Amino acid sequence: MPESQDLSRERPSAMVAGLLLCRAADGHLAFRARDVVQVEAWSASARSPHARLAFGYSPQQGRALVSADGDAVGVDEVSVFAEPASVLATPALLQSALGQSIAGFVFARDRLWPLLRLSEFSRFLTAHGGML
Amino acid sequence: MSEQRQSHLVFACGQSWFAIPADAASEVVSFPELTRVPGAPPHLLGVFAHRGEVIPVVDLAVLVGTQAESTQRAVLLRLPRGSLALTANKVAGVSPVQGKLEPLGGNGVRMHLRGPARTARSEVAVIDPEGLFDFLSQGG
Repeated sequence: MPESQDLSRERPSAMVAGLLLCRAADGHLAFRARDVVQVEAWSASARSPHARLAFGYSPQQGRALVSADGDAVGVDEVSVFAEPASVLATPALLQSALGQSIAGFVFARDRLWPLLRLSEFSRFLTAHGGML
Repeated sequence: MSEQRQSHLVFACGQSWFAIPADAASEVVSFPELTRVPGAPPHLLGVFAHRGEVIPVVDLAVLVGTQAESTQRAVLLRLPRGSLALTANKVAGVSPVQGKLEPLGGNGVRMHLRGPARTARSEVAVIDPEGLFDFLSQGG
């Protein structure tokens, strides 16, 4: 039973290009840029939920990512990541988590990010954000 | 009441000792800084990538409501439905476990912990890996 931390034998994975990498408190989130039609200011008066709720923090002013359906999520910071990134499958244990809004995990900027479906994540936070 | 002498991997999480059937335990891993999963319950510490697979890390001590201890070591379980890692601040190795394998509780995670059982060195709670996986996948 070897003890290891071998990341060099990773299996081939899908790639995605064009991400919005976001921070909400100490949490990190990624969204496909193509799923976001607008980035606007988020404030406490906004009707959209804030991703901080999903990490156990109170919302604060930041940016809101808006989908084509009009669903939106607030985050503290957002930046564009244009390089191709590997997408790893969502673990079976998490497939029904967050209203099935986890699309996978991506490697970018030397760390792993949950890749979220914006509309599903917004709706999940709207429905459950107060209970997280 | 059932008795068991199957080989188990025995490890400590917090102050408690657990045993998992050896055939479910793939390896003991040191994990890097974890990525938090939004909306995750407190016992799901985060995830890390291991050989191209994203592995959720669960702290059993938090799950059963006992005092947790910080560690970056975990027992990696590979089950038919998926993989997960259970934090382990001590690993005692593979050992036969003797005792009854009755559920330690009527609800929650204790339904998937069996005992009373012991190894030559300590009392252990024997994990039903499939039952634990089902429990966790339903939100724990």
